[in-house]
Amino acid sequence: MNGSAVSYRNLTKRYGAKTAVNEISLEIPAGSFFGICGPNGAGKTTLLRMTCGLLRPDSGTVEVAGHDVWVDPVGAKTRLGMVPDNPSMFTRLGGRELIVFNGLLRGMAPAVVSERADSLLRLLDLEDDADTLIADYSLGMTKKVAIACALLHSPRVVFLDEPFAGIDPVARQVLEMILKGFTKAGGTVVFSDHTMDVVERLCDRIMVIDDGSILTEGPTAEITGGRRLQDVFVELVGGGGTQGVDLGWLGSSSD
Amino acid sequence: MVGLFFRLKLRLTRNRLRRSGTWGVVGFVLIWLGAAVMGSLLGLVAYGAGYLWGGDGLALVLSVVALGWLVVPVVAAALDETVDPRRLELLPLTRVRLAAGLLASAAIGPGTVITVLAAAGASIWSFTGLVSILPVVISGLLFVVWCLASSRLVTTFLTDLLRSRRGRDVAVVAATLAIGVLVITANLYRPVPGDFAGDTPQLGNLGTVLGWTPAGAMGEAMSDFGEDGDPGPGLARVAYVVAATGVVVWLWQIVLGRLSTRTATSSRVRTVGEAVSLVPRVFRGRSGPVYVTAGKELRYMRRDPRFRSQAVGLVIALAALGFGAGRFLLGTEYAPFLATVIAWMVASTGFNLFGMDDRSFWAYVVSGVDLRRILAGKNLALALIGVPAVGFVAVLMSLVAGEFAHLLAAILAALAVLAVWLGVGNVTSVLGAFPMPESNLFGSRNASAAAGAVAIAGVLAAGALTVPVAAAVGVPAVMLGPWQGLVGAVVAVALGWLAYRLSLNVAGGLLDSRAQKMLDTLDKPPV
Repeated sequence: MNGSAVSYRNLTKRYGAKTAVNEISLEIPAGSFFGICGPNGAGKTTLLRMTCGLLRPDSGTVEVAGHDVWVDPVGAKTRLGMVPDNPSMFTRLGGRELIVFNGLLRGMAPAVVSERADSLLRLLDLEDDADTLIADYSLGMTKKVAIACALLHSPRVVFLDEPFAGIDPVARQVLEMILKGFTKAGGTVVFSDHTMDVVERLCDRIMVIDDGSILTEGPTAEITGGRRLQDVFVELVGGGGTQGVDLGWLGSSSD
Repeated sequence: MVGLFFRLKLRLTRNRLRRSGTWGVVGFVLIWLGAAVMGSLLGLVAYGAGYLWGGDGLALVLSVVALGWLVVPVVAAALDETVDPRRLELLPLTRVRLAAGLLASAAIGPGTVITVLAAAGASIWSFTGLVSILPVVISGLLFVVWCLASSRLVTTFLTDLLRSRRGRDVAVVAATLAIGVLVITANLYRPVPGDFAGDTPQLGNLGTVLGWTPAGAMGEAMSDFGEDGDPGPGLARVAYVVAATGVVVWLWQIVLGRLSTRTATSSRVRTVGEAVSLVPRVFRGRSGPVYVTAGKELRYMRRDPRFRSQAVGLVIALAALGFGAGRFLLGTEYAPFLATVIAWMVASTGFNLFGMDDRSFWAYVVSGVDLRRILAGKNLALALIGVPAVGFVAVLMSLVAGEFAHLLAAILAALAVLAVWLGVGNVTSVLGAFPMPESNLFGSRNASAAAGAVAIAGVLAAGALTVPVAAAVGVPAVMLGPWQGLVGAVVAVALGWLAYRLSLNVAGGLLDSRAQKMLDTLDKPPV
């Protein structure tokens, strides 16, 4: 795939007086591993939800693989996969049932769905719990099954909102390998995370946003300039100390 | 696609039963049997109405059933059978396919059983020969589809509306006015005891009017195709309902699209004072777990859309009592006793007191506070709603009736009922706790069938406990007079208070021993 995998034009979202995403314009190149960083409430999740057709923007456009998400939602959703930070699922389905159901609803052939579901369950170490209901899954297992649903149809772009939160180190390594393989094959990964070393290690491009606006965006090496991303990030968004707040009471007994 | 949604719904139902244990299965079977019984009765009523008033009678009964589809899901939680579309947002489904699939999923539920059986009763009356079977059955099926589609549109629209505080107020007023008009209309057509024959034309007229509504039109169409042997008007009516259903589905998917791609902002604006003070003005000068819990509950009642639906239900009941039931069989002097209905309604919302807390129940457990005090706080909040409501309705009824002799006894009797039902609610809240769904909409059956069985048992127990309380007031009031009724009411309050205190101790003990199980139950994510 050539050109842009994702294209934003003046994308804006407001909640009352607060501007969650402020006129963001950006091109994410196809085949890139793109990281979105920002403090809590910076607008990362809002941006990703608007990108995937889950939240209607107030103005501006967003295209995924050349399809306007809000003009041609079916075309865009066919080409994207998403793992939300708090995935909403049919919790009364088993893991395998959920993955299969997702594939069938996407119009995939049953045999293909079944084969891919088995591969993903094996890869994500969910084979033994394939028939356990999602309601009985841990947070990490729920994330894994959401990842499986997002990858099942082999999308062109995958969006992941804090995908590594709650996932054990082994699964994290597997997921990293899957995503790296995906980008090598031409796919695009866009993900947000608070763990700066993960972002720095995985991403070839990053964007830092705060208060809904882009603070910086570009190749990771250019932005860090040989420093740790953590330091660059704190410098960009500010803060990082206790800022004169007296916490002397902390640790004193409440007995 | 429709088949896929059917399979999904069946799989969800099966898995839910798989987890619910023996009592859950028993509860499930009872619910479906209850639906079958109710549907059969409605079918018989439809048959009888057809026999008495022809197509107008069918229109009347089917319109009532369709009205049930509009009202019940709005005012009652956990009755919606639709698959939650928010869980399908990421899938590349066109609006039409999504709407068709969701309607298919909504069709699998006890409500559909009731509706199909009611339509079957109407159909059986309409059949006149082999030729009539197909069009009559198609009309019946179209009626079922209309019920499903219109119900989806109204509940989805109201859920969207009820998210905002202004919307809540509008909905409450609109529901009150609508129900008021309905009750007044129904009273106008009310059968006059002993004058059954004189009643027939009036109900027939009502059926004729309702025959213009889509649900009523299907009743008339059945008659056209069958008994009347006049398929021309029947075909026109079918075309009308097909078009109306199409419009409703089209509107529904627009509302659905708006709902799923917009976040609620109603709770974002609040003052600093509100955020800081958990103990509202009514408890000024008091502190402790009971008052803090009551304060938190009152804030939830004001902010949480789920309470708003209950508020709509309460206002509907108030309107119905105010407009119609004051002239009920007992005679006007006993009208203030209808305040006990309000007491019952308020208290019965407390049968799953920890349901709104759901995942945050752990906060009570780790706080180390005596959980009886948490229960008492929740009861206090409901009492703060219930006591003024009881007083208001009792006074209103007295004013309507122009009789004040039983006013005080009626208020005390209602308070006794409130105490009894709150008490039983405390026990069911522990034994049958389940996380309340986020809204009345979309697959909100968080309650296990076992929790349903506990609720049914609780209702029966509370009903049994209400008998002596009611007898303590009712027997002397009716047999001897107002003053003796007042003495009986004092006794009833004492009995109610005793039952409440006893239940608080029992429920508190159960809470201590079942806290872990409740944590497990309430921590489940929504279905």
